[in-house]
Amino acid sequence: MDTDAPPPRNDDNGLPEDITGLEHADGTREEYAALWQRLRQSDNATDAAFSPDDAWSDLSERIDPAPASDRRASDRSARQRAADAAPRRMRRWRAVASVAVLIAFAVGIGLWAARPVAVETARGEQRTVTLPDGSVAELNGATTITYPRGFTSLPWIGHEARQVTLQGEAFFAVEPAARSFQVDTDNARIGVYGTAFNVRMRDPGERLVTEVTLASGQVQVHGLPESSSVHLDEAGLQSRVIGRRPPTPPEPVEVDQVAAWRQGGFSVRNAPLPDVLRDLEAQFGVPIRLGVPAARTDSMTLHYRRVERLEAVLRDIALVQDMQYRKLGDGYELIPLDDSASESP
Amino acid sequence: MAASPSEAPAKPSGNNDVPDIDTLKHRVSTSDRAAFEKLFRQLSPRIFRFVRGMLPSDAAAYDITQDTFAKLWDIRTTLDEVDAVIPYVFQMARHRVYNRKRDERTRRDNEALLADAIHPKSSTSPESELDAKQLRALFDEWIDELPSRQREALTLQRMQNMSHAAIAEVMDIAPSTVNNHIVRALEHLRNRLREQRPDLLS
Repeated sequence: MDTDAPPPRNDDNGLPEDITGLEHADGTREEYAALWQRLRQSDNATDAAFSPDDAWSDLSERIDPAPASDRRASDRSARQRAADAAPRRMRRWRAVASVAVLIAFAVGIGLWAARPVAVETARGEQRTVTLPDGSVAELNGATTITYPRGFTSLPWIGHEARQVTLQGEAFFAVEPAARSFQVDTDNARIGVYGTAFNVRMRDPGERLVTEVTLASGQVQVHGLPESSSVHLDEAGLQSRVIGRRPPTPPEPVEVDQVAAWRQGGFSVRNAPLPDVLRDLEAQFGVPIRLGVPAARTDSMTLHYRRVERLEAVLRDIALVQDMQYRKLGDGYELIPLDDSASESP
Repeated sequence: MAASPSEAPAKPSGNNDVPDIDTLKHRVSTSDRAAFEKLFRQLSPRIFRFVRGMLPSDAAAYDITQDTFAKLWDIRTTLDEVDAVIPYVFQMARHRVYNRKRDERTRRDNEALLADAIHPKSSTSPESELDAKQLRALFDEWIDELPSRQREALTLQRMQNMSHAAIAEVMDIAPSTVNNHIVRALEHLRNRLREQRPDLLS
């Protein structure tokens, strides 16, 4: 890419040297070398499926159609002649039919435009979405946001507010504009005044929690349906909406920690272990089972600026909670220390 | 791709086979079709491979490759403002991949090949070597199970001359994250091979 960056050596089929950390992965170096070789071999099938010659001849037709002006002109005159030849009544029919088609078309566009847009990330996936007004939402894993297409209800008719619905966690950087910007979760409404903030909604079934953290500007947090509101007007203030209760009073936190996920980090503050594991699953896409009754675990606070390996986090959690973790086929499980000491990893 | 041997600074519109990529970029921006063809021939196989690595369908990958270059031609006059064309074209292709819904039909066409690769017919011994196409059908299935970021990093890593920094630039993430994505992807593929075709791991 950058011609000045030294290209990594991956000549032939050898495992590229710039891949590091495989020694901690399952499987031997030899297996990875064999895997790599197979992958490169399979690429040959892809290369064989593409012929630059054929592709170029397709493309050059597409980017250079026959001189367009002549053709359109002759088309038009042919159409004109046909129309002149047609009896007048027929022409009226045609006019009616074309109006009907236009109306149907407009209704179609209207219906299409009325459908909200939903953007969803899988577990372990992060994604940045630019909203119709230029505001940006960064989505953490297992998150859905929904908003009206173009922030309008019908084409050309704007909503009074720029309204976004969120499930999961996202960081918003909102463009200032006349229309207010609003984020709804299942139990909270956040009114926004040109600002950047993080919203995390957790739904562990019995306890719905929305946590709003301000990075700059101001926001207003309400519970849903209807409750008193809390105004956050200083960077680093946080308010939580727990269940159907009104928002908690502003409380100072470290914004960098709350939004650590944006830089590949992970952070929770005084959170029950099942919530911590759910957050890890959502962010890293790896299932983590809790093999201990939740009541026997403690709330905990964790902060990593960068998570290089999920196992490092699990090790710390196990240490604090007096447990151990073990690898399952597709993920991990936290289990009591004594129970199966013989199977310990 | 501005490969190592020809890293000399831009030659004045040389008749060489491989003109410098920035020279090409500039000539394309002045609507020079011959330069655009050269650029296409240099870059399109890599773009195709990149897109095909993310979508399990040759037809879909072909369409996206063509769309990408058609668009590149449309915006040619703005190309002079682009610093590095190659990452730029990769990103154009990448947007198209993410905007596209998977082509279910073509994936189904792969299934016969796939069944063959996982359970070789009795006539062939189980250790029989798969050809590149069968191998690819195997990997397609498993690569499709990966989160899209892992799939993307793994595909870019298989390009020649692409450092983690270059991959990070295309994917717009930190270079250290690139390595993590690749390691996780490889681990997944290795586990699948172990379960289904352990003979291919030796």
